[in-house]
Amino acid sequence: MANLATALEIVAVDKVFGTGANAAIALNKVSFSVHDNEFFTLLGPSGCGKTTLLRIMAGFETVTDGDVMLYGKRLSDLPPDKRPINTVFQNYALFPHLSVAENVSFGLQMLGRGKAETAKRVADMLRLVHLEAMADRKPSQLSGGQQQRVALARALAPAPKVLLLDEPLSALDLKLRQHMRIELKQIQQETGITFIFVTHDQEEALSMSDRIAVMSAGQLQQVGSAEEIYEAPKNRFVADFIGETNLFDADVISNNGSGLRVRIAPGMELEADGNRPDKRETCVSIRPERIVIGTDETVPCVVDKLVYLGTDTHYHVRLGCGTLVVVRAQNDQGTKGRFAPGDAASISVAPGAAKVLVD
Amino acid sequence: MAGLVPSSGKSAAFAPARIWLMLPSWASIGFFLLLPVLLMLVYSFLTKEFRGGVVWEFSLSSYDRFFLDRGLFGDEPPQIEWTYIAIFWRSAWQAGLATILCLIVGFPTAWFIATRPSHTRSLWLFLITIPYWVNLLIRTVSMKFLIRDNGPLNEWLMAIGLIDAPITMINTNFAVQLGLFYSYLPFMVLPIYAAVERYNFALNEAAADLYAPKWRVLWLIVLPVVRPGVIAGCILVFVPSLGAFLAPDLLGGAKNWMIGSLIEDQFKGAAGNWPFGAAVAMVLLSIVLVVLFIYARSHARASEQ
Repeated sequence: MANLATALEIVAVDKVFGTGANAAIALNKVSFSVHDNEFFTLLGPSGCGKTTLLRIMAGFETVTDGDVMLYGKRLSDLPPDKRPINTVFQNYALFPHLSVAENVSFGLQMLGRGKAETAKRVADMLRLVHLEAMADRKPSQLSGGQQQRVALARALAPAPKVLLLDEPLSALDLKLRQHMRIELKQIQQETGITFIFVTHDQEEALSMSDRIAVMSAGQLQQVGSAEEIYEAPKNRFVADFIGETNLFDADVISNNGSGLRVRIAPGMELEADGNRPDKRETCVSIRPERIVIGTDETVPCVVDKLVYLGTDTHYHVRLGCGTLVVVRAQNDQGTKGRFAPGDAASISVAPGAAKVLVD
Repeated sequence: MAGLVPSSGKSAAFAPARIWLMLPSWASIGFFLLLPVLLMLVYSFLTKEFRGGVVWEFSLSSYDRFFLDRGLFGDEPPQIEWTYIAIFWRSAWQAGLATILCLIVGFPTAWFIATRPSHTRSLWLFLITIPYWVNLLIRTVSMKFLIRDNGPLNEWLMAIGLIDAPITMINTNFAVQLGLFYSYLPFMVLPIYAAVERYNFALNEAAADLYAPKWRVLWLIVLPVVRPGVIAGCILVFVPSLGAFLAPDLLGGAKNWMIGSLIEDQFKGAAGNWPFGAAVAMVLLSIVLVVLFIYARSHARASEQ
């Protein structure tokens, strides 16, 4: 598990592309710390600034304002070849004229390591990514998954302080991607190197990361563990982007200090975690799997449609006031086909399921 | 250039349709390329006719004349004839120098064009080709006027005080070199441009990320990856430079002959000697083929590894 010493610190980083009327703000006052030995993920939709931030860490882009610190040392003035940081590129960028072994040894040779040391390290890295047999092949003779492993071995070989991974799994097919998730996490734990992983795929982020930074429109939205981000999203964007959720514009009825009593629909009042002092209205998120569909007439509704997904079924139900709610019911025995479109039903919300959001 | 790229050795059975589709190109290559070369090969073994042309009588005298010196009346013991070898040698180093100069100027030019935004790239390429809308002969003659003793170049150099008296540039090796360099520069620029344009610039970032300083990125990554374009450019400049005759004729004068001038002279006018001209052409062709063969072999070996 990650210990809490800070490896990399992003301090109030601004990045503006272009000038004057064409200026585009890519990053807006982004600050966070990445811990030593941590698997840290930058998650956000395309265009949110995560790749720009990664390129700033690698040294391919400069900051407009702010700083990047590595173990307390300013990195902002160092060119890429002077930073003890290596990158796994999105399309791998393997050197096409060099063999697999030559690709992996490139960084070590540039650092002037001895022949014996380099050869041993290359052999170790190829064993780590299970490519011992491919050492003399050219990149063009490898499959996409194998190229991806070469890129990983090449970036790990110089034992960087931080490894940056720019959507490295996006070019692989689903089965391989799922397999590589487990393997990447395992390699990170084996090598003890701090990984900073960029992705737009929330499932990837949730399954691998120690902590996740969610970004949107050049701004940091929330930093936290997978559970924190999923179970206690801070704002509307995070709740909506990670997993599926029901968002309600609710009226605040009372405030008991640790939570709010809110009305999310006429006749549907509940306790929601979180606090927003002096607000009479707030946004509330309830995950579909925390709502139970039944017939006990607590909150009556009508089934609008259902989506069968194998392990579970999504019911889209309409409340009396017309609000649409998505309910996720697991397909254990007896529940499958229990409701059909048009059926009358009722829903109840599990205690602690409702979360108050900042807009 | 297709012949230079070693095929992967897949000799799959040709479908009949493919044979018909390839027939026009094979026919034109055979008729306009192979047949004339064969004709020259045959001519080089025939006897000279005095007013030009040939007598159909087998003779080795053309090759004998090229390689051996038997004295003025042909009755002395044979020695190596250095006259023509010297012309070949001058041609080789002139062509080699032109190739190197074209590479030095052409590579940065091609790089510059290939790294422009895509909408301005075609404009730059267009600008490169503009001088070539004018016939090569006209351009070479114009250059002769530019660099002669009382031509504009000497006048400007004197006007800005760099020289006191005109420098003799015309009828020197320098003039020939200038002509070759100018004539064949685009043949260097275009293949390198094509290679650089396909180049994946993420490789530069990857190399820098792996601690390579800029000059090592150029030397270890960029140059090896665009090497096929560079080699194609070098061949496209070297081979025609080797056989060039306009530049040496018009700019070099009689002292600075190259092979092309020698061959041209044998076929021009009544004083010519067709079998000898054909023999010189065959020697030139053999040298070029040997050079290309060595290149193709080394390329095939490199891509096997």
